[in-house]
Amino acid sequence: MLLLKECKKIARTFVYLIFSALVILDFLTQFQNDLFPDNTFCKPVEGVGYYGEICDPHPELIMPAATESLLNHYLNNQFTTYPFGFYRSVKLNSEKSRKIMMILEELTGQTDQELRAAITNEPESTYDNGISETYFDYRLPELDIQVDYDTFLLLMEETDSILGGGSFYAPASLERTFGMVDMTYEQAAAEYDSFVRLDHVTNGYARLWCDYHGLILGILPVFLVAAFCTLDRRSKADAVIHSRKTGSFRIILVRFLALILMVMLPVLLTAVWGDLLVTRFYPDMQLDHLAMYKYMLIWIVPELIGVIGIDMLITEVFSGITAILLQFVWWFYECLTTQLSGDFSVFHLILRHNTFHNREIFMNQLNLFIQNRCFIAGLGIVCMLLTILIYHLKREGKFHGFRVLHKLFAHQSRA
Amino acid sequence: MDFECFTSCLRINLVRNAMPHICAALLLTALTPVIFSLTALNAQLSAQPLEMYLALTGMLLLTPVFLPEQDDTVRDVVRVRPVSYLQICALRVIAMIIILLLLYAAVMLLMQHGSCQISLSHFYGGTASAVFLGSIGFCASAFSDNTVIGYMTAIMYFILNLSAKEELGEFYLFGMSSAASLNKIWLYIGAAVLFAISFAYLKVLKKI
Repeated sequence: MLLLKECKKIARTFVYLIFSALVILDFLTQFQNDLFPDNTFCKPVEGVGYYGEICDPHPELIMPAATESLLNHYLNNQFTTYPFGFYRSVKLNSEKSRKIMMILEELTGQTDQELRAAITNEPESTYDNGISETYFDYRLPELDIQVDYDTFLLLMEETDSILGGGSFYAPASLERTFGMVDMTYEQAAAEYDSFVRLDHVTNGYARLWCDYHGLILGILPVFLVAAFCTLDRRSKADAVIHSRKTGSFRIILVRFLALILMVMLPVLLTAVWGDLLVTRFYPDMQLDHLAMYKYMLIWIVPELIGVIGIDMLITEVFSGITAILLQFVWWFYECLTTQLSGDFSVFHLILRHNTFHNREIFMNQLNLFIQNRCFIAGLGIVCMLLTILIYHLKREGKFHGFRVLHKLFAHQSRA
Repeated sequence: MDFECFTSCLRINLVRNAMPHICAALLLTALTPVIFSLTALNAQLSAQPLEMYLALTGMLLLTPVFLPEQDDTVRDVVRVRPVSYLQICALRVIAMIIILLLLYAAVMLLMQHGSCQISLSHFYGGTASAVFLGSIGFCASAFSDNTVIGYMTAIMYFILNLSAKEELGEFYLFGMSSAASLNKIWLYIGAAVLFAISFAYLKVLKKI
């Protein structure tokens, strides 16, 4: 059977051994590291201890705080953004600065002069915000916001766009930056109740397990794809395989399935292991022992289909090393720009929910989650179909892959 | 190796083999001002682009040193040549390190123009991270005879640095960015050891 043969071929590669070791190491250092007696979720006791923070997106809280912050940045003409996950200091020219002032005027109903006159502290009050220029921390009386929340969000979106993106004023960041409040006992009790009654403990941990594996499986399969898909070329078996009767569709489809199955093996092992660990830490609870596998199917498998499909296509069209470098760039960008939780979007490769709490945040974005996983899996399947076409053209001698730089710098004989 | 042979080997290697990797490193360097703000940064923030981003040029330039001869038939041809294959590889390593230093110098000139608080220690520390990361990829390629494993090892080490600062000790790549008082000389020593054991392995055990 061809599928079994291909699986054996993958299992015999050195890269697969390293891959499996890294998946298990990731599980031990990340997921298992989070499972220790002091970190178990206990029922909160009223009036005892700190219950943590929660994002409570009340417009009355977010609008004045964001406006005051924007005003401070405007007066200093020094804005902080993280467009690629790294710090970036933005200074605006007079035209863009005027646009920000107009936004502030619309938000507060006050002119530039009136706002400057309302400052309540001495301007020499400074702090080091990471850059070597002085930053003045202006304090203002409570601001009365003149617009409704929808208009406010539109104005904040415009502000983010003027700043070049990646600022605290992007609507997706606003709630996390300006809407965090301390959790009350009632909120903590409700959180615990949903963890026990709705998540049956393991569903919460399954999301955390998927978060850790989803992150590392956004990059690791590319090495396996690059090594496996170039194996024929390295062992000079490609000419023999090309002349066989087996169709291109069957060869590529079987390789695609073999890669997914073999990647899933160590992942499945950690799912069983994870379930046993959670069971040991919550011995008296009613647990859902299928949770890990359910989440694995809806979270990890679509990601693997996407990553493996895309990487197979790049390897076939360009080369394995090109696939590694492009996948690393994509993965690194995703890591830097994706928030630890509550930041789902249709086009992200990596979805994060780095906690076994906060079921509500996950469920509120369930539709986005489903759309995203369908998109990523669909993209992977389309890429796999394109790989079949490319492979077929190569077999017929009509295409030999793009080697742009190779052609450009190829040695030309002077003879 | 006489001078003419030396320059000829160097030129052919740069044009025929290393050019795609040099172009990738150049592109990565050219994108530095797009991804990072390079104006008025303090000493710690100035280290970020040098350690957490440009260090990847080390991986891009040094990992594929053995790539042209990864095919055994090509290596057999190279073996019978009068010039030692390992001498050619050493020449490639030196050339790639010089290119890496030039790329760092270009970015640091840009940062100096942008009034960032940078000093020679930034150059020394940044290049140490890049050369060490590259030497890891180089060593893994040499031992496995597979450039894919070289990239895999270097990328995994880079990722490890994002979360395991304490465990890596003196071999932590982002020491200046995180204000850790690490002596970067260990990264240079580590790189030298990795280069040496790779060459020793190929010379003594693989008899190349």
